[in-house]
Amino acid sequence: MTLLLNLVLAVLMLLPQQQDQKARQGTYAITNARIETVANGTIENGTVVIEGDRIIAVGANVAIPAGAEVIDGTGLQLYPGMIDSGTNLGLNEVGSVDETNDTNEIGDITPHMSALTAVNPNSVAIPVTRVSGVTTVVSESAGGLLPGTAAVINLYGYTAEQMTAGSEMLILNFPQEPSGAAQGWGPQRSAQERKKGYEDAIAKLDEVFDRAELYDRIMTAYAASPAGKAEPVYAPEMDAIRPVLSGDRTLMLKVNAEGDILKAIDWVKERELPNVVFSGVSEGWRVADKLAEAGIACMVGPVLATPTRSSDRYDKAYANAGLLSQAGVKVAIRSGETENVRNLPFNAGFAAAYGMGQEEALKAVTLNAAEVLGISDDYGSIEVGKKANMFISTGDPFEPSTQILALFIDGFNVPMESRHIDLYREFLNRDEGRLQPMEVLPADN
Amino acid sequence: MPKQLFAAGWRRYVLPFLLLSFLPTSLVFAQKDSQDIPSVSEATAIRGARIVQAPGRVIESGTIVIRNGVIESVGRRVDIPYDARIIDGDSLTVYAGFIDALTNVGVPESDDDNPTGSVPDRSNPTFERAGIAPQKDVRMHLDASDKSVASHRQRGFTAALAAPRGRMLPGQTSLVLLTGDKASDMVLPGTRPVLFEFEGAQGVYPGTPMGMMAQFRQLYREADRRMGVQAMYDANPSGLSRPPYDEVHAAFFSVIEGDTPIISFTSDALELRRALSLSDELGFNLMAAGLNQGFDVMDELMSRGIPTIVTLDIPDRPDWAAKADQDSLDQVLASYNDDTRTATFRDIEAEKRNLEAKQLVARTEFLTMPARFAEAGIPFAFTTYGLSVNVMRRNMMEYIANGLSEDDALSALTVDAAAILGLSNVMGSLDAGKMANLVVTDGNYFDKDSKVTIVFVDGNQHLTGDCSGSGCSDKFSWGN
Repeated sequence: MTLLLNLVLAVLMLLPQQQDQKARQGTYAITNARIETVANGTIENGTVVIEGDRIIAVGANVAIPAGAEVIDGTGLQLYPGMIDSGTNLGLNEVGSVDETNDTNEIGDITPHMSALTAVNPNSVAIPVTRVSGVTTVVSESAGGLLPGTAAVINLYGYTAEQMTAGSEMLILNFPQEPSGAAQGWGPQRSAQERKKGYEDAIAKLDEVFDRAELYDRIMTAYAASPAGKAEPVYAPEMDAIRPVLSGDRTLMLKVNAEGDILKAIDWVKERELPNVVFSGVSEGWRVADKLAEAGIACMVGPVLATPTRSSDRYDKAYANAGLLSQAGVKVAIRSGETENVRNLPFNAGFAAAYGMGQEEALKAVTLNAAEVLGISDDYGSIEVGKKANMFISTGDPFEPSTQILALFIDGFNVPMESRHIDLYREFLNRDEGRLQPMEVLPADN
Repeated sequence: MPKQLFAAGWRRYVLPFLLLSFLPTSLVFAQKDSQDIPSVSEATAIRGARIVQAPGRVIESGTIVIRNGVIESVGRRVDIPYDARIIDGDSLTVYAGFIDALTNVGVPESDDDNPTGSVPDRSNPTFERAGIAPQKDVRMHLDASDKSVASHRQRGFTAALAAPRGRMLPGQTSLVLLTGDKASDMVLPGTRPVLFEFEGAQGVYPGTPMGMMAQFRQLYREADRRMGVQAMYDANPSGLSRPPYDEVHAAFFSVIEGDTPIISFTSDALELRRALSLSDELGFNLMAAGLNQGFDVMDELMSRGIPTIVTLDIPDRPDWAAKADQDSLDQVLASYNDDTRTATFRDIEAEKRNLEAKQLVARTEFLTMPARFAEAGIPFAFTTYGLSVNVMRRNMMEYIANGLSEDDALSALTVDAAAILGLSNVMGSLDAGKMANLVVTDGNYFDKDSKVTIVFVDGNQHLTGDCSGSGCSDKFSWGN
């Protein structure tokens, strides 16, 4: 414990000097650490060597290349960088300032809008997020039936191209069947109106995908032999849906209620969509076996939530991910957050504590997430050949008391700087002139 | 959406209020219908359907291709273009889009339609108060989102002669397509007759048929004279007073010149004869719509070649007749004694029966009118003017039950209506090159159980063709 405390203090004392330090790539050797590879178990007192953006060696007995910068990991733990499968990070800056919110394009059908182009690489929330060991997130747009493509981004870079982790998913907000009492503000709609609205929404969804299939057929026919054919109509919206029909792009289908999940399972089957994941899935535990049978992976969360129905046990939202995982569903965990994506490890921690288990919960924010997002060739575990996304911690990252001491993204050793730490430092070392309390002036002055 | 426990507090509380302020816009987006789904193909093919190109010209199993609002090809064997959306037409029948030759479709009711209130001199009210507005252009009063447009379409109508609402002279009509997002999408160029009805103004002159005829003559002759004065003034204004101008008289100029017909809507033979005599007297081109009791004037209509538009509004069936079987109805009809000079007051029952028989005879005569027109070779169109379009098909079936052939009914809805309105080159039949106005039914349109499942207007598809569940997407069921 003393050792730990000393380490933390040492790191904190180093901080002022690190202020202007930039993230650097290079050859790093992290030695004597307890390595959670996720893919191949735990290595006690192991070494990981990073060269450029890749991991080039992992193991207990690894030769350290000459010139490598050695980071002594004695008493510390090394984890693959955590992946959040659903956030608005980089798209929202200040909730109350409309100009800084870029999640919601006008229109119901905007699948050709790419969140990747909208992500603000300089968002204050990004360094804040890194501090808890999150290296990669899904940043998703919202609103309408098809809000656009969600981007998988690494949390370091100046441009979207530098940040992308190489995967995008098409978001579909699956229509929600109205239940019980009317919800929301404004004029209350009758049960029939809401039912009609729902039926219309389902019909519209089908019409969109019917047209997308027709568009795909026309484009395929034209591409096969354009000679003598009139040029087909170009519809960017439909162009954005095509890769989902072929399975080249994952469809991220957002669905939460039990009935909607069942409907969505049938819909996906009817449409023969090859590559679909569900996102949200807050009532997934009610139909876990159906989800497992359908073989649809789920990005579950937020875990830190209240139950969906007042009759549910208080801990259903915490237990949901575990129940799904035990039923055989591949589970990734999402925080659903913007400026609090840093709470991802605590989302996973609650899932772990409420039945999922530490190991599965860790996978749900690392390797499983990478697999679901289609980036597991490069990310999700500490393995030779993968990109160097990892962090060094003083313990289990799901524990709030654990400190993350260092973090690598694509081999960049990113300093643990953030607005939170700036403020922490500022108020530890306040301006001498303002240390004394100000004289309180009389109220009638 | 589950609430988050460990999440930042303030956004959870502030956000709802922020959202509240955005509510009006978000509601607008929520209301958008499927029209925001992008179109992916300019061509549509209905294949394997029964195609009624025109009355009597039927392809039992053929294909029709439309592109950019035009019929590209139609026939037994047609190559379907690679980029066409395909509708399987098994069990479907395709007709040319129907045309309503006079209607208020797309014209919302307004308080200005029927001005009331006291005036200083009841014998000399303003034109507006008297219901005289021949200058009123229906195109300024169209609303593409008016419910009547969709309900007309659901009955198979794709085009119409739309009339403004009003009284004696409601205004100038226009050819319209029953599609589009805004009024200007609907308007077709072509004939724009001025509507005339024997609908007197309330409480002011002219309130009686005699007054209306006098007023019509007066307006017409004044306008005629003004045209002369204006021509003189235009030739050499030097020393001449400025000719008077008002838009009511000016609206008659093109009628007088013979460019714009008057379309009369009459509801009995007397009104029709009055309209004919005005036309004789003043020399304008007349189109005769309505034609209740038009059979009395049939010879005159035919000899003068007056374009003829028959109402689909039929007299109600008397309650007792609805319950009676055909044999007893025939007996009643046969018992009718048209000798009304002999007093029968001693036998009140017999007199009542004779009156009932008379009503039945008149009704039967009314219902057989289209059949007699067809037999006499008078081409005619149908109008739903003043009628709820809901009953249009049921009433047409009454005409068919009383001797009108299905082909002649179809002609009245399509090819003859197009001819009367001067639209033959673009509408009325399913031929390559014509406008893509199509009605698709799940069987013979004149079968009681068939439904209109899809309507194309100017190539725009209305109704989804999905008639599973609670009926076609428009909830229209046959003959309601």
